[in-house]
Amino acid sequence: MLAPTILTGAIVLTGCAFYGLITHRHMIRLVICLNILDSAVLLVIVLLGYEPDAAAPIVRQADLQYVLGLPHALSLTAIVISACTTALMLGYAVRVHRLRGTVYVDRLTRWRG
Amino acid sequence: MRRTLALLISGSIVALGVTTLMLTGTLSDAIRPVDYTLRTVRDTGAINAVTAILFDYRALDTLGEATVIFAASSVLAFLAPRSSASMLSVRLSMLILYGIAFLLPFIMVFGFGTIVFGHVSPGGGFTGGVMLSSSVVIFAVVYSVGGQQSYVLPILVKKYVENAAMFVFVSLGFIGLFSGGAYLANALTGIPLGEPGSLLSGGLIPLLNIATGFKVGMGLALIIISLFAE
Repeated sequence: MLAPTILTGAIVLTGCAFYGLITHRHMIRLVICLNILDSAVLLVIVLLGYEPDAAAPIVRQADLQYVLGLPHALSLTAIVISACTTALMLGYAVRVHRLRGTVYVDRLTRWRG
Repeated sequence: MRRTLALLISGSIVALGVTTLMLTGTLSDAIRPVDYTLRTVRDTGAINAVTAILFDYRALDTLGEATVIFAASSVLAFLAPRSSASMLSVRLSMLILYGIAFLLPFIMVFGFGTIVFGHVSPGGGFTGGVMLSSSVVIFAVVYSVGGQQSYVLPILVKKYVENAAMFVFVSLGFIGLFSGGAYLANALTGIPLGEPGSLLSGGLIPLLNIATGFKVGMGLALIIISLFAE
């Protein structure tokens, strides 16, 4: 019962992220929406290795049922990459704000100079 | 207009996803973890399967991941130059100053412990590195108020530590290459794996953990400090 609930949650999060990506024009809000999309993907990845009543994959006894460790490792990779891309996007927003004086994407199309 | 369009698109995404979910059932019916986890202990000597996958089976992926952090911190140090911390002109109260001074050693010890015990307990290089970077960032935020930059660990020190940790990671990989195995090979190189569950086990994994921990900690601290010291 837990798995379909979490999957539905991930789908709803995806919908929220797309709604935000379409409606907002502020760069930092766009970054936040991309982060929400990342979290939805991570939920699905972690759920791939989910097993009811299984322990975390730290083997202290041999006869226990453990969840699959590979999705956890992959989600760790995804978290690190998403943190780095978030930092890069924020740095880009800082740069754009300094050069153009705005962080609204639709005001960046005007030429200046 | 745009909101209606957005509602339409995101609503159709949700509807499509939920119908697919109801038609196909759950995902976990398809996948049965076999004795994969027990095999990781035999192969690598580390009882934490996630760390075993990250630093043994997929160590090359982890090297790529570390390179991503390295590239991000380098680009950010270039993109957002650290001139002066104008954002940090708020006076903090005495309570915060002394409370953080009390808490910081615990945060750092917990971070180091998570790194060093990464192969026998939950944690690992990345998690512990994030804790270390959080301690560096808290230190910078709390004690560099009013532009007192001298309290912050110099940027160059962070850069040197990060580069040295990256170098250690890359050169640890050559051990496997020189002993006739693959790059970053662990058990094949003849390194004693030790008894699973003890601190000195897992061959190269603890060393790689420590290198990754320093690398991630200093890299993330560099990223965040380049962002707020703008």
